[in-house]
Amino acid sequence: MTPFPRQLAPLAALSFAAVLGTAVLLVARYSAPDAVALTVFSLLAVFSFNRVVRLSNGVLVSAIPMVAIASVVVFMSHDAPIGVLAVGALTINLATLRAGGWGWIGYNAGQIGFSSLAAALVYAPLSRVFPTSLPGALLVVIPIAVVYIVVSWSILLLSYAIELRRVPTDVLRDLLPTAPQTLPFMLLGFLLGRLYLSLGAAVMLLIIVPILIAREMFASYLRVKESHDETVQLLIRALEQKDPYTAGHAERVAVYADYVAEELDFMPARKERLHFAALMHDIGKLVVPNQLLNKPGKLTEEEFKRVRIHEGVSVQMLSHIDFLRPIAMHTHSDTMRFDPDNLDHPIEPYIIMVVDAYDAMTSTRSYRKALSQEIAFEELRNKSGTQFHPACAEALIRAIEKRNEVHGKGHEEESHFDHAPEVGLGSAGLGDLLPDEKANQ
Amino acid sequence: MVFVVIAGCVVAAIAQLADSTGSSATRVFLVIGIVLGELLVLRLENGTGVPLSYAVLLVLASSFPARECAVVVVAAELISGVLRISHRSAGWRPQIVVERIVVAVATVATYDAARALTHHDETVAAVLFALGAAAVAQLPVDLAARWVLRLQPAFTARTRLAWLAIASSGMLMAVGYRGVNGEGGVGIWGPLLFSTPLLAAWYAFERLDSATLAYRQTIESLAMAPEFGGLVPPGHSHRVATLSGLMAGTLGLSGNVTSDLEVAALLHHLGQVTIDEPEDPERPIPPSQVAAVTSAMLREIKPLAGAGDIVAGDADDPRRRIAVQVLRVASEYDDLTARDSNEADVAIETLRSAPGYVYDEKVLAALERVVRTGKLVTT
Repeated sequence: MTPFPRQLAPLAALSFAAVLGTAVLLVARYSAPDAVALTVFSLLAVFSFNRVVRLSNGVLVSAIPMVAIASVVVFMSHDAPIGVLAVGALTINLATLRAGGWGWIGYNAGQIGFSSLAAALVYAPLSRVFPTSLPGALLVVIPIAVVYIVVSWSILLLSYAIELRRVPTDVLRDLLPTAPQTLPFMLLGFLLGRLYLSLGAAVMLLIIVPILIAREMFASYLRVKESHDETVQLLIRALEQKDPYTAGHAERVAVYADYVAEELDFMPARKERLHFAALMHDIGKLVVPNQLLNKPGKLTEEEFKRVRIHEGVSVQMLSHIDFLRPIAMHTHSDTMRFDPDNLDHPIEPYIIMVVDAYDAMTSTRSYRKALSQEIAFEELRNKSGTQFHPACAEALIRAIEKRNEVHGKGHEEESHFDHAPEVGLGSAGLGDLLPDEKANQ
Repeated sequence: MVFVVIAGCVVAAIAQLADSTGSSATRVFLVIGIVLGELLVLRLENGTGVPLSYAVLLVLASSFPARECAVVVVAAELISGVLRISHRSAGWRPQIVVERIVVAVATVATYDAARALTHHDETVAAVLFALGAAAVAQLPVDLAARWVLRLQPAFTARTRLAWLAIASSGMLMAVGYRGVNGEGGVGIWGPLLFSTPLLAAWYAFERLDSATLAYRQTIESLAMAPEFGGLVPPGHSHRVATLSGLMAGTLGLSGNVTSDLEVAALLHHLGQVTIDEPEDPERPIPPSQVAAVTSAMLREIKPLAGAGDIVAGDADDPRRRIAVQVLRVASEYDDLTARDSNEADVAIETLRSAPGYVYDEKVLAALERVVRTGKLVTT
């Protein structure tokens, strides 16, 4: 459980007190809620709140808005807004409760309770004016969805403003794309509420079962994905065991690839594929004997040929993995020189080529010390359009400059080879792009 | 899929214009629903799947007479068949159409029978009973049809969850469409909106399937490294993994142990790629050193630690001790047959002639059973 921020403690206390005060007012003025409905919807709300799913892009998907709108339809049919507020306020995360996270409980009670109550107060007059048959019901759902979202987000933005952890406008920018995906849940909640009123509590089970199964399958997916991520670490450790001078290379290449993907507005799935391809791009080096990978001097022609075999092996090994095959098929250096006329070539291998070269230039290898970032940038720009894809090279430079990061000579986090020569000797030659004229300086 | 939705909506609009009651448009929507449900399946471990169309069949069975159901199902299956053939869908066979029609007939027949049994009562309990009966009937009928038509029936934990998701969503969609005693029905909007949880389940099943495939393929890809490096004969790891899996099945090892054993078999030579080449080619790296390096690497990775124990030959649990023996026997058997080109009988005899403390008798018997029953197909 994330510790509750101390700055928000007054807001949480105020919010909980406001819920209690409002509840007292509502009890005095409106009808009491149906006990069965209150039990069913409270359980459903707790269940939904404890079954939130985090997608790979970090977005949280929850059935809370659906339950909230369903409770609005059910309780407002008997003019009992206290039921709506109670269901919202009782939406508790059990892990938080066990850990005694009262700050979060008070805060959530206020946020979900008041959002639901606001939606209920708008729903009451609208349901009397507009037809409740579909698609006329949409005319009711849209305004109550808007009210629910506005109140919920306002409380959220207020908390960010108090906490000063993130700028509220940035938070709003992240929240906006999630609004459209909430609407179908709310429409579903509207129908569920009506179904409950017509057919009773039995039908609720029919909606819980597939949601629960979806959640369990998604949890299994996350576990397998984690295992996969860790298995890729096995490859990286094997490579680093063979060639300690490339320690951290695969991870850095993957990070730079992420930067470029972000600059080029890749979709999450495509970004993830590029990330894995970048992490695994040197997999073929597993078949190169250690003695060759670590040879400090120049390689003989025979040795060089043996080292170059790793590219073909990388292609074959990566092609075995279905989701990497489209990238793997184009990663061999024989087909990798940038060709502006070849539009069929996917851009991902070009990205890996640029970021691999950049990291090779800015890190110390057994055959030479790290170059400065300026030289690396200059090299990328000089070879842009001939060796490197211009868009990829520019995107990488832009991304690094935007982040004010400095890599290369004097800025390496760790270097395993203090006695490496200042300039490149060729050696294994993998990614050593120091131009000849500079090598001779 | 987008094409199916657009084309379906156009046809439904035309049907609506021709028939102002809207019932023709509804049938067109149900045809689209079944076609989409045929294309979207909840994937199972053995590569087959349970189609979401079974949920739409419950809507159909609960609201239309048998003859109209037949027309809708046949039209939908024809369209699905054409789409699959035009897309050269992997694994599609004509038997699938037969299987789907058999399940559709069972769904409609069971629903009608259950309604007759409750005297067509328009109570929530009676309608849910009939829908539940129809949904339950789908499972054995589908499994039987798959068994007869050789379509790989499966009844694993994941299969049961897939059926449960489809059955509950289908019942909800049907109730949302027809209502009970004139209450609660919202027409075609019901199945449309109440299919959302099922679509969420489908998305989760898809993600799980693709992640499992990527995980397995990554391990297989790593297993190729010693082979590409010329350290072991081509295909050794794959063959040992297949043989180990079959022997584990014969010995009744649990799913977890079998899974660790297969990973161990695939990766048992991986460590060799990190060891310096011996200066004297006449003195190869001892297998014990390879096992020690490999197991140390695997044990560092949490999900592969069990496989690391098996490679190390270090296990406290009796079933895992058997797994260690299985890997040893399978690897040795492959060396004797693939590398040294011995006949299977000779290889088994060689293993049997080793001192009693080297190989477990039960494990050797399992190897013999697997080889003799022809389950092991050498490649």
